[in-house]
Amino acid sequence: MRISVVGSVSLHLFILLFTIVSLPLFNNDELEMPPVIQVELIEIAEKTNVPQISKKKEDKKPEKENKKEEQKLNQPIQKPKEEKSNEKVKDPSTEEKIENKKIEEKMIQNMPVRKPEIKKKDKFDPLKLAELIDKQKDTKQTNPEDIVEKDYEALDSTPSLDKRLTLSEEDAIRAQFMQCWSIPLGIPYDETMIVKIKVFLNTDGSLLKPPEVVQHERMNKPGEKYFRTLAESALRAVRRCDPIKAPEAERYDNWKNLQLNFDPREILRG
Amino acid sequence: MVSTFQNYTRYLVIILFALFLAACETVPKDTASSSTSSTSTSSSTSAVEIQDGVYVGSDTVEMLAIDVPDRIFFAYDSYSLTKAAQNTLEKQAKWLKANGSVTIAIEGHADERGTREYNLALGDRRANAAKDYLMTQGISSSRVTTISFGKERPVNSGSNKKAWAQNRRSVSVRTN
Amino acid sequence: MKRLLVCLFPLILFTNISFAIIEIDITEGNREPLPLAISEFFHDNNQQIIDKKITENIRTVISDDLERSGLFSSIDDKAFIQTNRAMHLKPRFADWRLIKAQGLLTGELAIEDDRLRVEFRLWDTFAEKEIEGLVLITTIENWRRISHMIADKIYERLTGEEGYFDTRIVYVAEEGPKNKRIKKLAIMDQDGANHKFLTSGKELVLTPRFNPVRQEITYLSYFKNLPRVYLLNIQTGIQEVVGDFPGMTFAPRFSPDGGKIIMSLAREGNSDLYVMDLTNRVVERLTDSPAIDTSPSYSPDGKKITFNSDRGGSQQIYVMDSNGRNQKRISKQGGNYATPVWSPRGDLIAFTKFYQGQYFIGVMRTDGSGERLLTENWYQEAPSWSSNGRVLIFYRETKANDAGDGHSSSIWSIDLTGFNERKIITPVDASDPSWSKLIQ
Repeated sequence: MRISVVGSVSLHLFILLFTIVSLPLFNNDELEMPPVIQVELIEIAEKTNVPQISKKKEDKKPEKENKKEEQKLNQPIQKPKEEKSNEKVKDPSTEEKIENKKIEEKMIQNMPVRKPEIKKKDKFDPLKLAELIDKQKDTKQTNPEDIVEKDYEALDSTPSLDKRLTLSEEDAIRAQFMQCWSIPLGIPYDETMIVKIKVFLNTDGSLLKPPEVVQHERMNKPGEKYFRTLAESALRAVRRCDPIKAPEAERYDNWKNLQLNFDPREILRG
Repeated sequence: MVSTFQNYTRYLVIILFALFLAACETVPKDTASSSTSSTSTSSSTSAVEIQDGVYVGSDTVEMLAIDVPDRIFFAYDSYSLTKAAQNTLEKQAKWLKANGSVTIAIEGHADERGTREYNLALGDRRANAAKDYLMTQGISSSRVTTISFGKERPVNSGSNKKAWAQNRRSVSVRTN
Repeated sequence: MKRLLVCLFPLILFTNISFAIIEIDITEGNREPLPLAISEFFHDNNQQIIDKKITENIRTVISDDLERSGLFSSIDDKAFIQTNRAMHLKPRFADWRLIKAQGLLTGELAIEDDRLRVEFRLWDTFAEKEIEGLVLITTIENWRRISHMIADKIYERLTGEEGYFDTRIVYVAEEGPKNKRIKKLAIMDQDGANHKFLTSGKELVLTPRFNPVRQEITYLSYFKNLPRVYLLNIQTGIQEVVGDFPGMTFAPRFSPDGGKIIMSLAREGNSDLYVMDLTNRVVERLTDSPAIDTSPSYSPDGKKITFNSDRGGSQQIYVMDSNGRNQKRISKQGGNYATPVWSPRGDLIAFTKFYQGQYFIGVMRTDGSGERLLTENWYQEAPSWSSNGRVLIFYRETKANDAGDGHSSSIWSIDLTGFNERKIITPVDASDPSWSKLIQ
């Protein structure tokens, strides 16, 4: 009897402790803020399911070439977000072109009064041997498509797992956050530059409560300004993506809690 | 797949162009038209104006006295004296000996295809190479000063092989 | 009791399961500049002293600074939804998110005792909070510097890195035909404002460099046809020759503490490196090779020096201890290398490379590894670092035609990443740029 009482008490204590520890709400004063009011017109990816994507892969080729060239020409100019998001999830359509035009107009308006001269990268200048070699690497990495595509290629062979997300579900979620995340390109490469964010979702894909930075205390440490920058950019990405296009509701238990590992290390290494 | 194919074609173009350039290197045929080959066809004052990268023509050359040219020319990134340069300096030495009160400054110059600071040092080398030769010919070092202008004072403002060859020079200038 | 235990067990299991979170790695994202909304600063209309132009210009200066960095884009203020003064106290974040702003800058201006008081706040529109706020007070004429300082604060808060906008550039202004080029020292703010010529053009001047700690420049002047290294105090205008050397001194550069000048001395056709202590004028010879040693540059800790030498038969980059020991070649990728400059962060050396007829600006690690070429052109050289080591400026020349026309020279900037290449506008042709540290 005594044993069981002690056992019961200690187990209760354990559970209590566990809940406190694993619900970081209590030690998370920074993040206690009103939930984001949902008015934003964020272009959320249309749901990426397997058949759609594999079909799109074929359609994409010519568009991709165009994009690459455009990207090269426009390098130093800001390119509005939507352009990319459209490119990634929608098929090219006339509607999109109109929108792009609008954006371009806006881009011009947004230019500073004293327009900086922008060097147009001449794609075909064969003399740029070293530069090409150097930039090639960059452009390859620059293009998030490549990565998305690679992931998709693995899709067809993957069986859906019961308790987890299917790869296509995972990719769909990943693609959304990739669009929402403005990589803080100014931070220098460092092996520890990765931020893990816990996200708690409602059935409709909206945030149930504020996202949590796993290494929250590191954000406010002196000498961790780069980490703070990274963490803040990731938090903005999560809020910008709110609500995400969520996987099927009947599988809610599988995706209601996510940990997003924002990892810019490969990009920052250059 | 598409991008790798593009890469290959890119490299191919690069290689072809590199070969083309290499051809340019051996046969001095400047893309900027006015060079040795074009001058030999158009204004054929002298058949060959650049030999082993050294200007051998007479344009830009001025005379300190009759048959005493004021300048010598160098190959790219070089300060060694060619036979022709030694010949010119010997004439200058003879003239200096004959005119014992004359003092000169030797100005060393470089072409525009080099970084500014290095070219200052290179110009100094060239001026001193000329000065040293004059001294071996018996001219007192007190009569000869040197100054380097690096690439700051080209004599030919063009950006072609002939201009560069004419600019790689050291010039003896009377200072009194 | 046993039953209780049995009941509890699944509960524990359940808790465990619910916290076995699915992880998703996000290794790519948006590389476009971060969109910011930079609003015009408010002030009371009864304070006529503040020129409307100043309020407009403050916004423009901040916005241009940030955009030029390539890391931010400034949203057109025509798109702004909220324009009332309340935004400075509590912005309607949803409105700002609607126009895609990830950050919002608001501010207020006032005149207090004839001095300009500028208060600004930087808001994270998604976290819905103020992330930076500051009050700056200065004379009214100083509004430009205030603007640059605010831009620096924003840059620092959003990148984690010191800004570089409150800085100046000294360079050589060039005019006239190539063979009779007139060159003057000129100085301007990093954005081209407050341009001023420092010398008349009577003498040929080259390669000015900022003292990292004082308002002082060292440069090469052909005064009296004797090319020598000079010092110029920007505030007093006083010039003096550095040392009494028996030959041309050139390629000067300050030590990181600003107390020494390292330079080349050419003697009888041989150029070696010397360092002069400016306080006691003691000169020390650092290299002694029959080759050309030039373009020296200190590491930020002052312990090492990188320089250019052709001792191995071609122009290459070398590193040595600051006392001249342990000279070692570091460039090894083929081609000629010149003008090495140590980055303020200490980890990189920027350089000019001449390879297969083209000129490149690049960076390598201090042991010569990890070479990256950032930009390639017909002619360009002489990189100079921004104070935070993120950006390089250099000069570029265009090819002349056979008549000698078409030649021009201008200053350009490029990011360490090889992106965001921009021409820096100057009133006349420009070369030999040197970028100051943040103004103290």
